[in-house]
Amino acid sequence: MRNRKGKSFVLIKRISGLALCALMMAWTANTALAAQDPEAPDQKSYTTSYWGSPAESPDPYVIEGRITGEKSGCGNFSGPSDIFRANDGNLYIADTGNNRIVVLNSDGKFLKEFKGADSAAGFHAFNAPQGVFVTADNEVYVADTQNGVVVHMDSLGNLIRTIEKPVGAVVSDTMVFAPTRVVVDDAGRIHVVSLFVNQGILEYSQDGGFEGFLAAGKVNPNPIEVFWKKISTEAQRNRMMDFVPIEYNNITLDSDGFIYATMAAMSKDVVIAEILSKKGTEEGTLVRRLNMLGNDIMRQQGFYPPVGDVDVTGSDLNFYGAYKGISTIVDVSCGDYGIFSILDNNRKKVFTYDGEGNMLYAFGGPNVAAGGFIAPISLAQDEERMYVLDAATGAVTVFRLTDYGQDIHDAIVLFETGSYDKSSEKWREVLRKNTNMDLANSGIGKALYRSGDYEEAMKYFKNASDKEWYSKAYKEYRKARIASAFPYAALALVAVFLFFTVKNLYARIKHFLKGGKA
Amino acid sequence: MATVWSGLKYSFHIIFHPFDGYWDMRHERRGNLYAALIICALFIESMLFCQQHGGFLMFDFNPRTYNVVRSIVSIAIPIILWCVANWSITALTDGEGRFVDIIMMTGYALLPVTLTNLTGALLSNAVIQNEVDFVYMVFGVGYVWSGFLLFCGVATIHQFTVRKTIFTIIITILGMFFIVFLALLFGSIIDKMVNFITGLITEIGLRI
Repeated sequence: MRNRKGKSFVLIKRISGLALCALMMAWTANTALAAQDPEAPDQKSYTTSYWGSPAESPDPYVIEGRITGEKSGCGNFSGPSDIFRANDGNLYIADTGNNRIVVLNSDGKFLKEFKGADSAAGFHAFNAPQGVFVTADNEVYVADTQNGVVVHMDSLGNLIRTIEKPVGAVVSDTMVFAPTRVVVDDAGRIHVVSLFVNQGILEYSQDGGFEGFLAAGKVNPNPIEVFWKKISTEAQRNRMMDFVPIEYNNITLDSDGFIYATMAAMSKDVVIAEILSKKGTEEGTLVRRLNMLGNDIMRQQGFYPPVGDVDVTGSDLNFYGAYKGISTIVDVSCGDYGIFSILDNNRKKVFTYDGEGNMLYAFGGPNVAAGGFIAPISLAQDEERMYVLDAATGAVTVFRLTDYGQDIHDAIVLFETGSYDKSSEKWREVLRKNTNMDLANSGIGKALYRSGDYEEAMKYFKNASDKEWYSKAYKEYRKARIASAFPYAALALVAVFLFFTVKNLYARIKHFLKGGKA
Repeated sequence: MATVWSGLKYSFHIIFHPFDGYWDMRHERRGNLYAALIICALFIESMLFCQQHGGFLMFDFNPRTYNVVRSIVSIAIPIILWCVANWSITALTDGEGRFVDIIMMTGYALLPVTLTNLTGALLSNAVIQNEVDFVYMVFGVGYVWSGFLLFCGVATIHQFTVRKTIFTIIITILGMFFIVFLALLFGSIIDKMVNFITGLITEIGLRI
């Protein structure tokens, strides 16, 4: 019965998918994209279950529209690399191929562009800038990649200063400085990610002086490789690959001033091992939350560490189509209360996690005909929108938060701010929309636990596969059960004791009456 | 029936007096094959019980993917392989035990782990996360005890020295893998042959 229902469901989906595809194809015709087979992977949203398999969920975000350079009125983007949402709501796009920074308003209308920075000494023209950052007072930092400098200019495009390749004892002269991303924290410290630099994030002080490298990736060579390297000759050793730490590919600041940094996986095997063990380790981390000392303080309390897709073999064609393998994380975007999203260039999806590292949802996808991405490169968000920049199509896909996504967000915020009962109500709302949502079960369970209803809480925690909280609830439940059962148990013990005493006594008396000694 | 019952009762003698018990089993015709097979079946059942009714904190039971036949086969096959491999090896290394002895020895050796499996599975339903290690200890005791019984059994029924026993057990385990390898090889060749012949028949059928 269930199967039949499933089949007709799929059929309906396919038919509606076809209609949708036809519509989308007509719409995207001007971008000259190859239309995809409607049977191809679609844009399903899902969460990852405790068992590591995708569990379909309602869409947390739906596509609201697409911003292209043509439509905005500034000419198409060419291989754009970065999108940044400034505090005033404007979008800054690093249009790398056209050597400019484009500023759009939140509706995607063109406001202005920077081809370079003006100064008394002359015009500094950008050369393939890959990163842009805007401070709270609208000063713009541009990672001017090919020029090898970070440009700091005011909101009108007047050069304030340039930040050059660092000098100092820890920097070799041969180091190539090709900044790709830049963020500036509230204290004015500047953090730069550069190509070919694997010592970590370059950190500059407020006045532009180089301070050092932050959070260098650890090298974790394979013991077998170390062994071979030990026994090989000098010439052989030179031909071997060096053990180098992995480079960061993107950084973002969150509202608390912590840096989220992403990196592509060093080794597929490390990430797969981490997924299988369900534990987050430093080696397999693809996204880090760094404090000022460069320590990773990312919480990893979810079923799986935040590495994007967990089902690495991707056997479920319904969800993945032809896409397999581990996620390639290219950007991270932070919401409030520790919620963050990462962008996967392999599966073309956005994965969102809460501050504890629980996966909330994955959305987006590779089906171009249905609004998917070809080469998603950058992610930005505001309260209700998510912007995904695609380097290949040069378009920004604008997603809008749905009721479902809003409910999840509200439930988390209410819990974080201490309104547990209200949070529980929101979670019930989420659960009504998506019975697969483990976190909702967990959230309701926590509220029940706080109200002292341990038995009911246990049910929800079990549904959520939340062993830690189940254990806590069971401990209290067991305590209560033992306390209530204790009088009866004691009574039974006394009864047994009395029975044997009486029996013994009876035997003695009988023995005595028969004339034996007592 | 009475002999089966006494054979079952004898298992408790064996697990507490392994050398004596196995000696009598081999030479005094004590113990019973059916009793040993019943213990094997109980062992499989105890494993299934663990998988299905073990506490949520310790055992991951996914009813969607759980397949009881696969579980039974995956537990039974190693036991059968062990018996066959041990018999094959000890036949070559002058072991005195017969195949029946090996089956009985293995069956009786599985009793402790059967008991601890059942105890552990029940206990695992009544523990919190801090106490999980105690339950693991219960399981550990069962496995070590059964392992020790297997060792004593191999040494006693084949009249081996300690060194030869260890050697035999290692070779037996290798032999188990070897049998699996041969079985896979044989299976794939048969599969190819069957495919070829059915292909031939279809082809001829289409031409006629």
